[in-house]
Amino acid sequence: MATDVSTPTGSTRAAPERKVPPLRLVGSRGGRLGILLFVVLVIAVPLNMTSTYWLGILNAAGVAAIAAVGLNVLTGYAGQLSLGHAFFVGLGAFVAQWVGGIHGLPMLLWLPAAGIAAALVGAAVAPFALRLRGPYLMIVSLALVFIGIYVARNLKSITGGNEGTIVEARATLGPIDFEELTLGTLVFAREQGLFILIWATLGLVLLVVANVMRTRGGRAMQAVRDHDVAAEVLGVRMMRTQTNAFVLASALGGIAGGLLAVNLEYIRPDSFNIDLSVQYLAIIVIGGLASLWGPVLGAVFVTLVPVFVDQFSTSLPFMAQGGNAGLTTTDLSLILYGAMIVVFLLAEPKGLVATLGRLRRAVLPSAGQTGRPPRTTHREDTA
Amino acid sequence: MTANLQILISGISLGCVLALLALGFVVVAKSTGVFNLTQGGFVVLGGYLSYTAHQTWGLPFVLAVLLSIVLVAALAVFLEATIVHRIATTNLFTPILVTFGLLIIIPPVAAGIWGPDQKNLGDPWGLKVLRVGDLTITHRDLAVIISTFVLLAAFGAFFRFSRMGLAMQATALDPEAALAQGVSDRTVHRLSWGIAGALGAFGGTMLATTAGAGLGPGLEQYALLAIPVIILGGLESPLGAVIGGLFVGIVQQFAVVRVPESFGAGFYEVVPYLLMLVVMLVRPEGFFGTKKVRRI
Amino acid sequence: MTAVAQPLLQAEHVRLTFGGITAISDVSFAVQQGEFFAVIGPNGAGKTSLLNVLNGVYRPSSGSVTFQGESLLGRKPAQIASLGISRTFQNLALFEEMTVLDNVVLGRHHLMKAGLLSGAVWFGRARREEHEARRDCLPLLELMGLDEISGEVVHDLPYGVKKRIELARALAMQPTLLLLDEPVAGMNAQETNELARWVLTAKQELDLTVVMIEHDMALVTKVADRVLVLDFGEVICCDTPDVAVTDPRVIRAYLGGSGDTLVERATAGLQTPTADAEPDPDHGARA
Repeated sequence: MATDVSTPTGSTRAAPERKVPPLRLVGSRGGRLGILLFVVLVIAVPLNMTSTYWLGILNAAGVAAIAAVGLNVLTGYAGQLSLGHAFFVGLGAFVAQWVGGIHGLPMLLWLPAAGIAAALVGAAVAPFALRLRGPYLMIVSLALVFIGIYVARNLKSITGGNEGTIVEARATLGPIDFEELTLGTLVFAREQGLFILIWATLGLVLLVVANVMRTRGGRAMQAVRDHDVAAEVLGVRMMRTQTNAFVLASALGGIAGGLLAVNLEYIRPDSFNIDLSVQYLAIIVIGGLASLWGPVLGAVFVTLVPVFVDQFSTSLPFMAQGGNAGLTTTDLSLILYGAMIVVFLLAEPKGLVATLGRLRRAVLPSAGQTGRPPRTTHREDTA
Repeated sequence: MTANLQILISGISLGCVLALLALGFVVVAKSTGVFNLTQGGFVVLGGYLSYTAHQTWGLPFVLAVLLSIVLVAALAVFLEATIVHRIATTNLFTPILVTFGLLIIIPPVAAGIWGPDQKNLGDPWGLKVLRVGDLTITHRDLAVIISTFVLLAAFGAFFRFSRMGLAMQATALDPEAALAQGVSDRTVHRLSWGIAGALGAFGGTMLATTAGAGLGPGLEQYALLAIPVIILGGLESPLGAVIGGLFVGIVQQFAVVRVPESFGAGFYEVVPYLLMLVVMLVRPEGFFGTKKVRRI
Repeated sequence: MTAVAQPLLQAEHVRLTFGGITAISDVSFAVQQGEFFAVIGPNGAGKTSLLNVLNGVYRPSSGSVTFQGESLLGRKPAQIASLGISRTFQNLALFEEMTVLDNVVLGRHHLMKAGLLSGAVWFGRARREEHEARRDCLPLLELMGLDEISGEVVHDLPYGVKKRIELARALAMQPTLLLLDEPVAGMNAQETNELARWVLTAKQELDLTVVMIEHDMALVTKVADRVLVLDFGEVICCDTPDVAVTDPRVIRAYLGGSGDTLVERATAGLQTPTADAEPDPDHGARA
């Protein structure tokens, strides 16, 4: 330990070029390549993937990822648990249908409207939830899910009541219609166009969250999560900071809801229940709390769970088959989500992102060290 | 007048069940500091195990319920010992999330084992009623109310007079002092989970005897009603849990009958949550909770 | 401005109780601008509680606290921070998942203004402020010998380094008054000396007033102008260190309390961090 000590005079000789990591969004060359790869994939995947079935699954994963990135702001970065994320996603979905479908306004209006409506409700609810330290936000958000379903069931003119409604909002951006995308002579399938829309939006959302987390507001969220008293003593206002996190999370949930609506083409109040919140929680826990890419990884993983459960259901003895008692696909998926939440929190609390990081370091021993000087520099010449 | 009394009595009966469920949350929150959402799963398992022990294995009803209580309590202790205690002190949300993960697993497992149909628990009360003047009280409501009060008395006596009960209170206040008296916090944590499991199993069985609702998928939704109850009463107040439970039960029953249809379908289902939001605005620590001075 | 120099910080008849337990019964003192003021006393004497009252974490049951003539009572910690009071903690309170640089930049939180939206688009005020914050924190990181590890996550760093990060973070707030809660607990003699030097340098260069809780009597004697001795929540002495150590009541307070070996340890200037820490009440049930 004593070798770590350096004196004020001793440290000024340090090599200037690596004193402080540069103020860049993406510090490493690997990261920049990753972003390039993401942009290329958003275009290349829909062009080269012929199966609309798998594209549909990736679209669902993309929407779930946007919602989960939002939940991750609240739970991963700000340390507050919400069981009510499904409520904000649902709110966004119905607002999108109301603005874009019933009033026929363009996507440039209904998509922001979905986010803003969710943000406003989040801001209105936050004071209930954040007055005391404790699990109150989780409890209030749970109440929101039940109240939201009740309200939606009874707002028949917008939501279609219990039966739900067909979504008439169109995914058009000026002359571009993502649902009937054409490029010269090239005609895209609906899934291909929506893939570009959804994953490009996800890219923007990731950029926004990355920016927030490296600036004042996001830093305050993480500070409150790690040590609330210390954060307050430094001048961070707790209520303001946690409200910020909740509002941002809600807004992203709302935007995801708008995209969910056009992607599914049909929405009903009961779909936005606790089980949907469970999915989002599973996504961020499995993917990696407080990591930027964790929710994306988790969303793809979690969306694939019911797909694989379906594939293997005929060969599993305990599954319901042709009227026999047993598990349905939904049931088994829920069991797996619950089990994975528990297992990951116990065994890999930083999620798949951490697992991948370890794998990468195992394969490329130098990869983990980029930009980081060795920790215990032995410096005898400081005296 | 009679009609109102009638509603009041069924409200008290529902309130008793909610009080038992809420008490399960409070016991764990008070002695371990964990907000235990798995409680909802104990309710589901308790109901179904009572059913199996009585209807399938043919045990007498009372024995079947006792067996169900013991089994669920054992499961609760097992979960605490193997899973929850490992993460109980990490941060605020990890323990909640872990107990939530456990909660998610239980209802679909129950649906897989017992199927999606409604089950008849076959309780001995059936539809028998007691008539007092114009009032008709179902035997089931009477049984629920009486057994709840017996349980609450036993519960109170345990905490006030038994060495273990006193130790549990001491642990909540000061783990080290309790340790000095020869009671380890590990024991106390497990015991509190066991008690919560037992309360959940009993409450679940009682919920499953509700005429009309009965034993079927969605029982955990009722169990979640315990959450508004504990907010009303105060997170760590057993007395608050009981009074909050009765209050929510009565208000909800009146909402079922008295709220006009213009409020829309299913209004009574959200009444407890609306009550809770109001309380959070006026008195966030609950009616019987105390504002905690946090020491750092 | 009155002719008589107004004290920078003044506490009068401060009393603090938790439930039935009295942590501070009646404490009054005044700290002058530019002073190095130490607070000592046996474990459980109420030292940390006093610090928590000063920066608004606890609200006293009665009494008054004024800073630059303004009352601090009823103000939240965040407001008190922006008045120019910063502190360090006895049991390190760093943001463990964040980098050293982010921890220190957080000290400038109250000096920055940018909102979430500006940050989200990385444009305008947020961008300018982040650049400024880094530029301003750089000399501080160098001063504390932290510049080479500024990109590392705090979590895995050694204890002594963490203590330095905390001090750097408190200084980044550009405080008028710096509160230090046992800054050298758990450090060896060499580390203690270095830290003392840093604190004194910072005090001089940044024109600080310092209130320091410390067990290490050798350090207190060396750096403090005056020392306040607390016992069972009461002031038993407030004078220069040389006078205080000879005060019979001070000696009795240290020797009286259940055969505590504080004096020996204090005069030796060496102590273990764990054996010395006041019981951590944070272990109690969380709601």
